[in-house]
Amino acid sequence: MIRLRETRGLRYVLSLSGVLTILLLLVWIFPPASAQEKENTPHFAGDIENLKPLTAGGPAPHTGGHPDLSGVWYPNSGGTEIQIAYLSASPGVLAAKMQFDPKETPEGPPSFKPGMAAKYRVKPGAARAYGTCAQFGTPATLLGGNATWPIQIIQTPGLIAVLDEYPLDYRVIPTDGRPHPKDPDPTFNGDSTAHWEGDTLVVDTIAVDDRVSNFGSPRWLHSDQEHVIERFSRPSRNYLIYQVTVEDPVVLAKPWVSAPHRWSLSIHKGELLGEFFCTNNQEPEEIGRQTGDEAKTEGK
Amino acid sequence: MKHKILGVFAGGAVLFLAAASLPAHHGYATEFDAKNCLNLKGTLTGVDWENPHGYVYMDVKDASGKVHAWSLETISPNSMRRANTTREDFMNNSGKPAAARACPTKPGGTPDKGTVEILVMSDGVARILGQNIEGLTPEQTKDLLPQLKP
Repeated sequence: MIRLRETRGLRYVLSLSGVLTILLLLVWIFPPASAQEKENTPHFAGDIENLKPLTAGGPAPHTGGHPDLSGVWYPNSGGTEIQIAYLSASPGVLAAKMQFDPKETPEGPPSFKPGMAAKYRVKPGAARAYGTCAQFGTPATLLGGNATWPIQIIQTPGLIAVLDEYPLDYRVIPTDGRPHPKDPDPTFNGDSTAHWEGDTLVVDTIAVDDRVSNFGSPRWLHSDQEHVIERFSRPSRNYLIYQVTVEDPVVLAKPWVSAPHRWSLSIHKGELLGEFFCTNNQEPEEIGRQTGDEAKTEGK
Repeated sequence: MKHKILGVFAGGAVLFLAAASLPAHHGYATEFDAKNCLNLKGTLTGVDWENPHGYVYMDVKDASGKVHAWSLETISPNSMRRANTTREDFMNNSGKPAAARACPTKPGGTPDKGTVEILVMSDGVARILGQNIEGLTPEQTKDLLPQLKP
């Protein structure tokens, strides 16, 4: 027998087994919140109801004196593909889906110079239609064009390759210090050259094709003076941070700066990117309409 | 299907999605009817395992006993595979009962065609294969699942 307590005139004496019985009864009637939630959350293929942000995962690996950015990365915090519909599996999935908190690091609209919005702002709703697998270019691909799908970064001395699953695409970015050519041909991914500033890889891009629109709200086209600066860093093993500055002295009153976007390392060990060709488009008319819309700016 | 809870839940998600400005998804806004989604029960007959969308085929009997061959659009097979829904799962469950939450084409569109939002094959596993154009909250999804028994 264990005497637990004795106060003025009252004696509480309980046996050890009695205490245990009461504790078990209380836990059964009022189970801890997490156990209760787990019982009530339905189970889905892929355990998507349990998606949550990855931990930092320890320090980032380094190669040649710099963080090594190599890996398969997802545009979210959960280390795997998170389709929008997975948010309906459990309230917890939202935290895994987010790349940044707009309340903490808001991402605002571009500031247009007077008269430039009508010429360069893209008609709302128009986009590179999903069914065409059309490429998005720089920096749109990594700022939302690739939607839920992963990239693979392969870092080698002198060169970084960024492979994109959707739309299927690649970029090669020299890190050997070469300057931009004098007058590069415009391309969707642009002409890039990169250097390290401390632990941040700074990628400088010019000569992005006219047809590339920038992701933001609203989306917008650009002049041939556009200059894109992308910053890649890997603060810990499981996270890549990607931030973009777009300068365009013709169109923008000031440079547009993105929020820092988190990418998370794939939890699927040894995963390879899937091939993604749009071989089975079944809505050609709708796709055609959206592709046509994409070319229109507000002024047209 | 709009409930008050939807506004509270979706606030964060909508804010995030607006900020991210995702590419327009062809077809969904114009072709499929998010207001008239329904539960289908029938037999799984096949799958197109291709990009940009897979297609699931189900034979569903109507009240008069007539069989309708439904064609249901899915997300990319690349995505399905990552969430443990494989081509083999479809092969193994082919010819067996299945249940689906589907959103049909809009009035005037192709009949017996839609998106599959949630599929339950005869193995009993609930698989999210669509875009949740209905905008179901986790609570609503939880309430729906017991109705999707193959």
